[in-house]
Amino acid sequence: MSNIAAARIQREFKEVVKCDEAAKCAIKVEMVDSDCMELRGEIAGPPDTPYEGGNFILEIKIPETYPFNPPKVRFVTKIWHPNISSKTGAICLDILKDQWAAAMTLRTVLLSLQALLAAAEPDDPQDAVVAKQYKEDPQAFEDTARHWAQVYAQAPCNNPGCSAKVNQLVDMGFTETASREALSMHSWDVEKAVEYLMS
Amino acid sequence: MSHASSYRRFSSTDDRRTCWVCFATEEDDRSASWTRPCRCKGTTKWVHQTCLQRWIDEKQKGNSTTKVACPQCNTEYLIVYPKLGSFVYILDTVDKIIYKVCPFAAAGIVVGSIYWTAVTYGAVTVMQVLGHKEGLDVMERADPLFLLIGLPTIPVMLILGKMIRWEDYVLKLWRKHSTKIPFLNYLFPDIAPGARIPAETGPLNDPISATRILCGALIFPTVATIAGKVMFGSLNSNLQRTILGGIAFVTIKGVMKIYFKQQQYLRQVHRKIQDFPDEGMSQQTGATQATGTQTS
Repeated sequence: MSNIAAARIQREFKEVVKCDEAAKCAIKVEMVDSDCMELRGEIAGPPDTPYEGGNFILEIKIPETYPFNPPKVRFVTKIWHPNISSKTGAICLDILKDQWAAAMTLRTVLLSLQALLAAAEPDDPQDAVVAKQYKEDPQAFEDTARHWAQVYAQAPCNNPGCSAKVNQLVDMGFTETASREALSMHSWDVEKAVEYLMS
Repeated sequence: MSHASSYRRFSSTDDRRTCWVCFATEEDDRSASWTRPCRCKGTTKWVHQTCLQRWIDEKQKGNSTTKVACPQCNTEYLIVYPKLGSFVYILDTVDKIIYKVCPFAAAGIVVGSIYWTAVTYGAVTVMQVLGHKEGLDVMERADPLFLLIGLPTIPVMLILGKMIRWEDYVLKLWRKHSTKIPFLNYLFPDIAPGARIPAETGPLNDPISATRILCGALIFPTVATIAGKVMFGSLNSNLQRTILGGIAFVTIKGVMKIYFKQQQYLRQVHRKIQDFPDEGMSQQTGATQATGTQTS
């Protein structure tokens, strides 16, 4: 790793650890390996969103050309969001692509991702199925996003309706993950989900 | 170190400088030169010359004429290159002109090559058809301008002529009227009324058939000359011999092609689709029928 990248990440790391948001447990960064090529980020679901109370873990890979090129960030925690792939966790956010500026830091990237959770951009989607649901059936989207946050991101206050439907499909012999995905894609319509799983 | 001392005066009023690329402060590297290239204030006001150069390189991606702006405040950076010496300026201008002219020159070379190839082909064809000496005589007597236009039109006309699919029209006419002429009925057995009519296959437009048209057209004069020599050897005039040979060749080839196409057409008409030898069906309908389907 080049000198600039390593030196900068060291400085940024210190900045994140002692910033106000870290004190409030809103964002957090940990080193995964000693040469800081790979980091583990954590953001809290923003209040008044379906993600409230959840803890979302991110994989941050620093390229050798950092800070001239953006870090590669991906959600490790599964999440239901129009701009994040529900399968791979890939993120569609302009500052992680062509709008990256060298003055941005780990802290600003994490805060931007937190802002993205609060304000989705369904017109520039990463996951087309989620984006469609977000636009056409906002209630189903909110239920799904909240359910996923509870199951995968340890958010409190469980919605018994969704879990019951997932269990119903699990009893039919499908795996839990596949059942949840099928139900989420079909706005919790059990019949359509079964049809999708059978095809 | 006069630079460093002049900056020192600023630093007292500007807080501590931090480079927005590498995040190093003045204390980290005292010899580095600093710049404030845009309207930004605060933490993104100052940047190292070297760091900003690298950032601009990254944005320009090798094209040094691309304009680069500050990602925060959108101010376009003022990039100044050292003044060119007059000789280097001339070299630079020449370099740019050559860069712009080359695509046109290359296109011109390609078109020119095709043109001169066509002229040469035309001349060779004239000598082939008229005979070597007579052909040269005719071309020497002709107006050069007429030759420069006329000779390349020979291959063009040959190709255009080859694209006329006269056999298809003849075949269509024959299919329409074949019932009225008894001889044709013998040659092409009649299609039973109510038989299927195969889907019309349009003229082949793939690149392979295009090369076929090209080769066929360009080889035609040679074939006509040979056919003329073989079939009409008694004639003295080269031109007459070749024309008659060409006509004879086209006619014979046309007839054979029509016959071939008609046979292919009949095969299409009479094709049948077989039943699939279904095991489940044969088990249900009994052993006798199962053996029947196997033997058929």
